[in-house]
Amino acid sequence: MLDFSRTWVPYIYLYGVGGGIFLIGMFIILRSRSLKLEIVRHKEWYKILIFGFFYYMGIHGLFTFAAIGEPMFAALIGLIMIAMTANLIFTLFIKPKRV
Amino acid sequence: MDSAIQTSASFWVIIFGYFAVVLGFGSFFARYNKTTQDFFFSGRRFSWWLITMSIVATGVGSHSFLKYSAKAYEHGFSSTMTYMNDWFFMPLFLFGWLPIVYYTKIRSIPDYFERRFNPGVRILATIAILGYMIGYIAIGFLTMGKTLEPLLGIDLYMIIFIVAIISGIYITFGGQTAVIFTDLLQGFILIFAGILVFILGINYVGGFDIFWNALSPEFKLPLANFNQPSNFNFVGIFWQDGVAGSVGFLFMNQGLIMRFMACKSVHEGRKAAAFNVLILLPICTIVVSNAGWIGKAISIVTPESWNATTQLDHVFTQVAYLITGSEVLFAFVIAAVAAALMSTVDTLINAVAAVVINDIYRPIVKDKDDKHYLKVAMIVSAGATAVGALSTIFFENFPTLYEAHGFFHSTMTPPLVVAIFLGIFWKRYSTPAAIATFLGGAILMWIGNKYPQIFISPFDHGIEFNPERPYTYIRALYNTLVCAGSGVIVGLLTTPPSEEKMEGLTVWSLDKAREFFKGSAPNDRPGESLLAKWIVKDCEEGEVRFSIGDMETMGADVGDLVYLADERKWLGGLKSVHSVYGEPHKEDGVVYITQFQVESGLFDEKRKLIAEKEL
Repeated sequence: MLDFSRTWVPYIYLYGVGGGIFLIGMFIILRSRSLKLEIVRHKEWYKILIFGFFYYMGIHGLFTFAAIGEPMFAALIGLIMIAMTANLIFTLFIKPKRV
Repeated sequence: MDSAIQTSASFWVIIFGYFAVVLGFGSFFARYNKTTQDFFFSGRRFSWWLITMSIVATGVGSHSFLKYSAKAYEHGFSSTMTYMNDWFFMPLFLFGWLPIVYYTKIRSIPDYFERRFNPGVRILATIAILGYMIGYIAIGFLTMGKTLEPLLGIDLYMIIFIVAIISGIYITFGGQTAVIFTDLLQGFILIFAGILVFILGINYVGGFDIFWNALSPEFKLPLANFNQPSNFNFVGIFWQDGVAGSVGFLFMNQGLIMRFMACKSVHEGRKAAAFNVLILLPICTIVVSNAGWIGKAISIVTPESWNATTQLDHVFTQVAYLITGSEVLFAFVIAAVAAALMSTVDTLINAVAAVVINDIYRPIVKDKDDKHYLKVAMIVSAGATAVGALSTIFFENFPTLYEAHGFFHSTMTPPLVVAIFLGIFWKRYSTPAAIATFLGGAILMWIGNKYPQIFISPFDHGIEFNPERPYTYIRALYNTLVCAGSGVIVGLLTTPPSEEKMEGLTVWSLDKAREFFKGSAPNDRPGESLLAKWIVKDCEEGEVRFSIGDMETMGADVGDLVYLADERKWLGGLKSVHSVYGEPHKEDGVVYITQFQVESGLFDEKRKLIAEKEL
């Protein structure tokens, strides 16, 4: 049986420290108006950026649960990821045509 | 296994045949190189999908197959960590560094340093970046030597010598367009080859259930143990690869930056980067690691077929040899790894040539025609190949390629990474601060390297001190902090640079960068792309002319930038030009272009053009 420090501490560190870096990055690009939410294309990128963070959190969570023999939790995360991906695809492709 | 694997003549026919096809493919597209701009940047014309596939081949270098297979065999699924931690920096890359390099039209990363600081900082950056790229080339050659060593049974350096000659000839005459198209082909092939190894491997061990159940839960965890062992631990690799490596690859890899600069627009560059990290990297991590997992499963399920004395860096070759079952397939897999080497190394050699020509040679030897610089670029490419091959000596003593690469990243990337980061995002970051980052950082890094138990151990997160190779990975944290600390302290103590000097060069003034790129205020009015017939007519130099109605559809005004490409999207922008909207005419669905543009864009008489406003 693997203990918590072996299974989840690296995960928490990865998304704690990495999440901090990600948040600082998001803050800087929004504050500097490099990413302008009023531009439709930029708003899509804003969603993609947030999606990407949770997407990777999901992949690592899914595989951790699968490795420690918790298939139900792994499947649940898998379903959430499918829903997130479907939502993103819908948002990006069901839209008015523009440049 | 570590004696030479027996191969017949047909094996080598396939290997060399494969190389001939790939080189021929690249050479075909090399004819599009007419200027140094084409040789290095491919005229900024390609679509995102073409660039993203060529990035795969560059990122998933040959070292990846060997080094990740070795660690995958030793430590399991956590070998995937390094490919799965790049997203944290994507906001800063997509909306910080990428638009800056694209819109400011910098020719190299040192060029950015001169504009942001001064020529002195440019020299420091040039030295650092050349060291980084030559080291990377050396690791590529060393990998190739280790891949072929068990097959040939001849001296490692003889193999490196032969491979270096082949790579040098190819890149010297090919240039960036050849590299991009060769990498496109190789990107597909190496993904296919990696997945083929996985499928054949699963089949070899008796099915997925047997494979999965043979491996222990710890082996299957996606992240390594937090701080042990010293040669593979989560926290060290997070700082070495997740931070220094990811930022190094995304922000200071001249080869990668040149790929993004070959995109037809910043938006296409963002799509290429995002698709690469979200979709292709998770696939590629399986592609490069799975031979190690399969090898471990084989050693458990059928231990009699596994040679327990296999060197870690030979795990990939051993597994490929065992599971393919036919010499043709085995040759194909080895050729794919060789292709990956070519992709990584050719990109870097081309990048070294770009830095040497643009940052060293052109400032000294001015006012020569473009053909002269193109010729020198080819000579430099050949020289970079030779220096890279010789530099393999520095990395030969590491136990595995993974550790050699880890140490290299931890040591070489922090000063440049920190200088780029603070330069882009911190307005107070001044020229003295940048010099302090390079020089002060280098001195403190050297002290840390000399006395690791005193200086690096406070940051070791409990990682055991290994006197032979102290803190191979976590030293990246110390090195990054001392470089950042040197820069921040000096930045706070010196006068900040003026806003005018930094215009367009930091994330805080990107609108200025766009204005600089266009030459006037950008036009962000929404519009649509359209399909138009083309007619050759006299236009003002560099201009094209559309009808009033078509310009309204595109949301364009006279003086805006326009991109015209052959209607066949699968060409990925190979036949395209950038231009400027001239005065409108009255023929809807028709664009007037000049003969020069027809020749530059290689437009086909029977094909319409897709036109879209850029800015």
